[in-house]
Amino acid sequence: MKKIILVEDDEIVARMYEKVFSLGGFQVATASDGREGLDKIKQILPDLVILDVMMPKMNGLEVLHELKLNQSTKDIPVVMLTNLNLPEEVRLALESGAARYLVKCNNEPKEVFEIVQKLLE
Amino acid sequence: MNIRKRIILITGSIFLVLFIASFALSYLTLFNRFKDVENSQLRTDIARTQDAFASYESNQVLKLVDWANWDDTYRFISDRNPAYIKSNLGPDMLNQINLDLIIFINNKGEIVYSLNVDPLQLKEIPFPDSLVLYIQNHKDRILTENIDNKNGGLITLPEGTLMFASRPILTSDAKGPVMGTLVFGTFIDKRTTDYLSSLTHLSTKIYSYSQKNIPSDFELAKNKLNSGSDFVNPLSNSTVAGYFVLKDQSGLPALIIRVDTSRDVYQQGVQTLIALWLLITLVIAGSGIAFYILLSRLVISKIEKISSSVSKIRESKDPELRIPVSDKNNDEISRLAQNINNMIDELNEAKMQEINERDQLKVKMEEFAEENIKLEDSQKAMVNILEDSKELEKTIKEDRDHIKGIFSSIGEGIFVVDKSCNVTLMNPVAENLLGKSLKDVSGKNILNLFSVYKGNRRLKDSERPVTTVIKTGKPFVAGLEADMYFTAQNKRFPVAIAATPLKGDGITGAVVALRDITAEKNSEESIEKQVQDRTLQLSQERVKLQASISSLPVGFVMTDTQGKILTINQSAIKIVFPLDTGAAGTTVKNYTLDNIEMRFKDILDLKSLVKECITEKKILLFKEVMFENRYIKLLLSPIVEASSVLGVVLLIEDITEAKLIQRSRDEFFSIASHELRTPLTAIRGNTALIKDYYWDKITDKDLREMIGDIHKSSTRLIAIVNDFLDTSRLELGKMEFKKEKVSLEALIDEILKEFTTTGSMKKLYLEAEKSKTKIPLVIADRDRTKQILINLIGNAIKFTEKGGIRIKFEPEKTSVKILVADTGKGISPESQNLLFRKFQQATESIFTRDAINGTGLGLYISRMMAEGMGGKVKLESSVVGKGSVFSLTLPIAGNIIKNTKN
Repeated sequence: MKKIILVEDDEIVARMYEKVFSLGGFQVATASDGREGLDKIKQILPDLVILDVMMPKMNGLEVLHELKLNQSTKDIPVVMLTNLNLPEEVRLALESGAARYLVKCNNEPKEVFEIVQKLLE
Repeated sequence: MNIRKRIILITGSIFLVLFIASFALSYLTLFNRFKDVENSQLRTDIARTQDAFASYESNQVLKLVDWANWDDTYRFISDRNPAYIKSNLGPDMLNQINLDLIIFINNKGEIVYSLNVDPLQLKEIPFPDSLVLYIQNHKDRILTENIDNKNGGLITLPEGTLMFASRPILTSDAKGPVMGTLVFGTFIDKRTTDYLSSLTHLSTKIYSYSQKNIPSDFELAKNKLNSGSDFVNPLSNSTVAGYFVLKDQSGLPALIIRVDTSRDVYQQGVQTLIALWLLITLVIAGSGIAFYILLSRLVISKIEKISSSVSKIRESKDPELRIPVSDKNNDEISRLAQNINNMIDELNEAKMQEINERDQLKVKMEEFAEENIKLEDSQKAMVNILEDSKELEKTIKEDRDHIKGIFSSIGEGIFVVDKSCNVTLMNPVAENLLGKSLKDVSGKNILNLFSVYKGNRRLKDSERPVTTVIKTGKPFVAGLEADMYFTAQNKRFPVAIAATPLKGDGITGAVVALRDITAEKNSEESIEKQVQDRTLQLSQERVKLQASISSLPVGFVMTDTQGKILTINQSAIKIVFPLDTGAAGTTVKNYTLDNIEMRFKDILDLKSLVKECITEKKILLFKEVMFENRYIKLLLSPIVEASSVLGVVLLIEDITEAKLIQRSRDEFFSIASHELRTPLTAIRGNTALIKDYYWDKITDKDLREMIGDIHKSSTRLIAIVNDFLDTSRLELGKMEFKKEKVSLEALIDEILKEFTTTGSMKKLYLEAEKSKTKIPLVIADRDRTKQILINLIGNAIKFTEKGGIRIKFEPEKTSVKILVADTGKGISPESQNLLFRKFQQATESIFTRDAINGTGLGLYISRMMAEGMGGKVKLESSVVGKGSVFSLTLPIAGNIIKNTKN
């Protein structure tokens, strides 16, 4: 079973995505801030990470940067999933090695799931 | 070619031939003779050297005989007594007798003793096997028991050329039997040449014939000597060498010897020859020059003299000139000169005769001519008088006509009066003024014909211009300003008057000119009034302008080209000099450009900007400058009037507030977007989840409908938020556009598919026309382009009830245009103007806005985005009730040169 970690500070939104990925047959772990997310990723070493950007303690771009610097985590694909789509942020994330940059409100949960599934094939 | 040159050439060539011949002759005879003498002398020297060599050989033989015919030696062969060796044989002793080798051989052919000495080191060295071999090979000749056997000569050995001699060993009184053979040998080397030179007093050189690397002159001699017994070769001007060969015992050449001798004879010969040549040169040159001088003196110069005299006579044309002839000489040339003189005499005589005859003829001719002239003159005089009188008549007539013309065409009314003011002449204008003709008034007094007013006062007769002019004799002029009026019968009008006296014998009358100046007077008055009005208007305008300038919220400073401030308003003072604001007496005069410049000195160089603005006629704009914790905007603009710059306007605007508002708005939008979107995401996402995964569980039809509505509404709300965000970013210039190569055909295919599959199509057709030509790729942001096209097609669908939407491509030169044509309700001309504005929909006012139709930002955003990508969105045409055509134009790939990142 594929393992993914969902790093998302909004409880409701996190629950929604957890649901869709569980329904799709993934094993999902969640983290509610950047710091917790980074620790969990290093510990579990999932098949894929879904990362919000605006989060307390450590923002998504910082987490992404850390992941890419670490030998054990640098090859884990990261999908940025956020509502912030300022051009600078999108460019920065993709340049730092994010696999995708998705805007939450412009994609149905099922679409997000399908994109992730395709990435893991 | 003249004679002189010809003589020089001929004598010169003769002497040159003579010269060369004598040179050659003397060289051939004398010089070769000297050479013969030298050669015979050298042969003598060669013979002497040969003799010397023979004596060198005989010296050795004499010593050999001494040794061979000696009892001690005789005994030594049999007893080999060492004492003999000790006392006679040793390196020193051998050298004393100039010997290198000695060998004693007994009758059995055995070597009893042999010794070889190095003549330089005076040491014994190994005896050469080559000599032993030679002796063995020739033992029949050398080792005989014949008492008289003699052997000697040169032999060539690998060690060198050896002078060799052998004798049978006998008793002291030359008796036998022969005990053995004694052999002496000396190598030919420097000792040999020294010996030869000491005898002959000539420098001598010897080389072995077989030796390699001998000097080149020896090589040459070797070749020459093959055919002769000797060879002579001059080495230089001072030395000549002779060569000869000495043969060895076997008759082959062994040595080649050179004898050098000085070339005394040769040198003497050369000197003699030079002296002789010098003598010949002098004699021939001397006689040549002498010959030439003689010829030139006696003949040529005389001929030339005659020739020049003749030409002088010809040029001077003086018949008395003759060629000078001296009586002393009576040669051929003098006689020639005399003959020429005689010929000239005769010619002169003939000429004199001819001149005399011609003179007589001339006198007669002149007499005739004189008479003729007299006749002609009188005739001419008559004709002239006739013509003059005609001319005079004509000019008088012309003058009269001329004056008459001027008189009648003058614009003024002219009156000519006599001394008592009676009219004598009047022009048509004057007739017109009076309303009477000349014949009615001729002879009447002008003072009674009309009266003159100054203002409202009638002039008395004595004050009238005409009377004063006749009285004083001075001209009178009264113009527009004089305020004079003419009255006659019922007429009254302003006049200008000019009067001037007629002078003949004293004052004979006067001319008076009158002009009706009603028109001038009127126009002057109207101009004055206009000027007054305009001045008033201008001063009002100025006050208004001044007021508006001073009340401007923007700082306004106006300077002339010298930088002097003409106007500065309160706002400018407030921004630039905030501390002065409200202080008493702040007027224009208190501020100079220098003051302002000082304030700005940390930000910009105002003086040079003003200069640039004036010289370049350029508007300079600084959008945002930090000035003491505030943001200001500066604009410099030249004041240009008829292409020359009169001054500069400086606008200063404090934009701090505006900037702060803008910044807070940016922040608001950024936060709002995130904060609004998050809950909306949850609503949309969860309803979608229900529809996608739990739809089976919702069995109630109403519930299903409600969930569907929630999802639709949330999606629309998100779209609205996105529109607002896009608008805000576009307006702030914060939207980024990628530059991608986009195939519009593929993009349209994709969009049409989406529209048809989502089932939002009512019952309309939606199709794209296939273009015949290939549609080039455009440079654009693919996602944004798609957004624009979805908006245009979506609008078309929205406003169309029947028919459908057709999409067309139109490639242009540097761009591609996509047309979206619908058969919808169309847009009224009034609404067309508002179409691309913010929050506008074709459906009129805010109250009638169709709630389903979105924010009204769609076209506005599309237009802004298209412009951001270097393209445009346009309404091509629209007819109410028939439909509209919208277009999107985007630049073709490859046409964009700059690829800026921002």
